[in-house]
Amino acid sequence: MLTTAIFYVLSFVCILAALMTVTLSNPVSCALSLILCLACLAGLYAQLAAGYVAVLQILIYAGAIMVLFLFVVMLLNLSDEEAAEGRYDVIRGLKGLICFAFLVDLYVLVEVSLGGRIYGCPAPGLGSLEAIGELLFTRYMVSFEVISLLLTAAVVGVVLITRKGPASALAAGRGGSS
Amino acid sequence: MNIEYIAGIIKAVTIPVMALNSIPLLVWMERRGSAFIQNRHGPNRANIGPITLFGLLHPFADAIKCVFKEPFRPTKAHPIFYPLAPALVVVPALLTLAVVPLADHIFLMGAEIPMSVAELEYGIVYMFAVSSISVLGITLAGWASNNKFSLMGGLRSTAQMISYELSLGLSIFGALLVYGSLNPNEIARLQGETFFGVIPAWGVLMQPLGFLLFLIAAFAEANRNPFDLPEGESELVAGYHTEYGGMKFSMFMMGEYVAMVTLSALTVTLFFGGWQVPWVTTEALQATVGQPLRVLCQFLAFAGKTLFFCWLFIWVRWTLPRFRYDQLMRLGWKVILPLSIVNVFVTALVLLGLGWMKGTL
Repeated sequence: MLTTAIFYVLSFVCILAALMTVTLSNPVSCALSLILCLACLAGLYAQLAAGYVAVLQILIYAGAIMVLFLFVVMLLNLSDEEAAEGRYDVIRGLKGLICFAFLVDLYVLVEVSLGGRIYGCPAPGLGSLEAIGELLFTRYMVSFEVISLLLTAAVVGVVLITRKGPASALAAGRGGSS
Repeated sequence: MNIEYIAGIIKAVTIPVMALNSIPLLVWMERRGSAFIQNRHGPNRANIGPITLFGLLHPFADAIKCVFKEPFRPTKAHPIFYPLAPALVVVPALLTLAVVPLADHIFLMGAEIPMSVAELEYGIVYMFAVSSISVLGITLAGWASNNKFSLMGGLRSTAQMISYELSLGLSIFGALLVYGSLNPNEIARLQGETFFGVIPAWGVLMQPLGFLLFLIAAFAEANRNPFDLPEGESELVAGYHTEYGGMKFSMFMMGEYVAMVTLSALTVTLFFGGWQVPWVTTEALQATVGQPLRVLCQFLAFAGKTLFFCWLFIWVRWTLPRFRYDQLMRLGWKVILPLSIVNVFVTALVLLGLGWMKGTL
């Protein structure tokens, strides 16, 4: 009873926050709505007996990624007017259409391929610390390592792009102001 | 009603109240301590008639002042985020304490009850996850105040806390590898043994470098001197809380002090045996003095150790000068982070070697 009530509250706030993320005009409000949405999602994970996944969700998304998002948004300091410029142009319409197509796609996937069946709870202990650790170091080992390599490459690339000065200076180890 | 539910409710109420009550005490310690270090009297005037209690009445005067101040909001401040920001600093700091064990499990009416609000097998990760939320509060405070000094303070704080959160997490990896557990109570219990029968096997002896790195990162994470650049008053007025006053301002202070308590408790749990009374295991203590006294002894041991680290925070604040911003960043990224990674690597190698020795010999 209480569990069901909590589930509905979390789901409602989650969907509301997701809608606010895409509809609000102020970028900071959008970022904070997204954090609320992610926090509710963490609550839903916790309800699925995947407490560790919930904690990781908070740690990685709400705590690390969204803080960086906010940081960048504040540094750029977009005002409402700038963000609202060209509200009704063609590109925007196209974007909306693509998003709508995705939504329909998702609906079709769930309804047709699953045939409306509701799958039961995952196996007990699926979201536990041991289970995740074991999956990461056995089944998903290669993809895990590849992703970390990709991220490292991205970081190095960003440093290279943002550094001022010619490539020769970089090669000589005397990059511009850093 | 189940005894576990009742115990859970009692714990969920008492532990935050205890943390909140430690704030005035710490403020008093900070003021008297700073006066002691700087060879002056410190605040000792607040009185009720002839009673001054060594200045212990000052926190009460402060609280009354803050509560009765006009809740002022700058005209251009954000109407929702400006009051939300202080709450986002205090609440995570209090939530973090939920997994800190105050003593070993107690047995009551046939149930085994942990002495923390919730005992999670991934308690340490939970602490890091929740405490990372408080960065949002500070960043938001800087932005919502609509003041350039606040914004600068908020941005600095974000950069600083992201940088040091990484080191904070990595510096304890070595210790976690040694314990092989993420459960704070389990970690505290594992530190009950002794080396050669005389030295308590606390984490600090097994991970001296890890402890040092953790302590430095903890100071930066708590925004305390020598790393209190987000509110460096000589350049940023008061940083992210420039525009705050009254109770909203004191909520930032509360957040800072609760974070101090939490980080001290985490240090104690990870590196100083948690609730372990030195040289006495839970079973031995319980056999000698009985369960209620055993819990009291362990709680006092834990509280004493935590209070010592709170004092260390104060001690350092009034002894060391503030870092410059580029020095702070260089220290974080070029010294502490590489050293933490080396610490993890060496610890893993040693553990691997020990494992092989045990396996082959």
